[in-house]
Amino acid sequence: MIYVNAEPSPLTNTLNEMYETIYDIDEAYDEVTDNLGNYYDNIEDQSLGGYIYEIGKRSTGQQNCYPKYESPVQVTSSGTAWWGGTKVTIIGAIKNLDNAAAVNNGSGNVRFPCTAHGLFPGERITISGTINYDGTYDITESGTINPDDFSIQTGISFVAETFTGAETVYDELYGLHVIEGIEISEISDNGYYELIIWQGAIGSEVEIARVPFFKDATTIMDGTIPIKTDWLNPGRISISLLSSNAAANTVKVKLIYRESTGSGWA
Amino acid sequence: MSIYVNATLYPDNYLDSTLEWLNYYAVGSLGAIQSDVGDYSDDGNDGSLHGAMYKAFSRTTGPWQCYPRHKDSLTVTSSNYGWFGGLKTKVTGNSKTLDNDNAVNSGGGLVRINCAGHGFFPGQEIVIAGTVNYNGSYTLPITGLLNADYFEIEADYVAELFSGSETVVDKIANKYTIEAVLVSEISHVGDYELIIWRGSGVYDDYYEKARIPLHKTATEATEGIIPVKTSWLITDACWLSLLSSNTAVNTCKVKIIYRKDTGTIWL
Repeated sequence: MIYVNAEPSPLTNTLNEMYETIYDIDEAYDEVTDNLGNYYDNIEDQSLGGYIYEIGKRSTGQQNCYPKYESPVQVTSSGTAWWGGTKVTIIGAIKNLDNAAAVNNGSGNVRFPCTAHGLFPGERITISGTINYDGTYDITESGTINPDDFSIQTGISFVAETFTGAETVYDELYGLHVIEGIEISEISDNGYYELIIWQGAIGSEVEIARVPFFKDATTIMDGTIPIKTDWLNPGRISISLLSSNAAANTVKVKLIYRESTGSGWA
Repeated sequence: MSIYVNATLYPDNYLDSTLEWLNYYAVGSLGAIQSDVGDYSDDGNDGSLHGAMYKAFSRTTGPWQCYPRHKDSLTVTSSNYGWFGGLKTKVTGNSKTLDNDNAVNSGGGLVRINCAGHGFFPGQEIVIAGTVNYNGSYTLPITGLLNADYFEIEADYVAELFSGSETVVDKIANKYTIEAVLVSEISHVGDYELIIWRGSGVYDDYYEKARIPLHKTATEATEGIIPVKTSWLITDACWLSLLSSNTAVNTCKVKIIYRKDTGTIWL
């Protein structure tokens, strides 16, 4: 039997409550599925699927050394046993542009003259000292690259400029990365050492790893020593050296790092 | 105006029990799953899958550190019995006494502590003990003054003349795992085992955490950095001992290389 009533019946109230309950269940279900995520999530999705993707992404990745295309960086202890030592900035290979003109390749692509630059596609570089082209750029696979010049997509319209030869270009340590080793060579004297790796601008460096090693009459710890840092964003990396000797000792160092490549499970 | 169905066809008690079931099982169960799954803001204290994932991943990285640091390695000594015992050597960091001098108010929330030849460095965590007003753990500020004979801590200044018996120690991390040892100066030709212990220092309260074989022959020795793995250890409770194949007291020098649980992961 169907009839009309101006007041909600007890049954209507019950159905309303049931509707609200089902609505709550639906909301909770959405929250759970959001937090669980799925195979396609990355870390931006803030789900467990995204977590696992990110862990997988960081479990591999291309190893690289820094600086590259040039000799290791020399670092010197203070001359006081187990004390101080000047921090030396680790920076990529620095080259000067040639005293020649920028060349317009069209569509914002500009060719820079730089004899024996040693750069390669995929690297990120910083150009300084120019009038029009200071900045950080990626050398792309599509950019034409020769031993004595390279091309980049500048993102701006071509502006004619003849470089003086004083302008610089250097390769940057970039992207999310973790330092996983140091290559040590030419330990100057017998003794015990600690090499400290710092990150941060001058005056606000934070220690990110410390590596002990030694040299004596029979053992020289030259070679690659495994280490581990936290994941690092791009920024100034510097190193300093402590020694057990009350004399200025030196070693040469390259960092070995691994990028978070973003390749996930592929 | 509303339309509804006769209660004789759909009795209220049937709907009420269905609603009760939905609330108790569906909402309750889903709530439990929500709690178990957690969300992105959870850390290891939330007891959720997200928190567990955060904690697990936070421990896959972390900076390597050596200990003791800013000083020579520890000497570990075997017993004079072949493959037996050896005194346990506590792994301690740089330890100094404060100078018999006053604390100095440097202003800006910094207090200068005089301590000749301390060997500490900015960013390092130290523990001060034996004072009236300054006992506790401090991280030496990067901006603080630091030279070979004094350091500054972030603290409320209270005038105090130190007697010279107060101590300051380089503190190892609260939670860390040993990833390697630096071994040097193995004293004699022979076979060795270096044992890492977690212990309180009280008799019978030691737990073996790792054992590393070493050797030295006439031509070579296992000196250098040797990889090792331990479970997570806590501050101020690490000891070393040495066994040797020789019936004589042998020694080697050791620094541990540890990785602390920093809790930072994603950046």
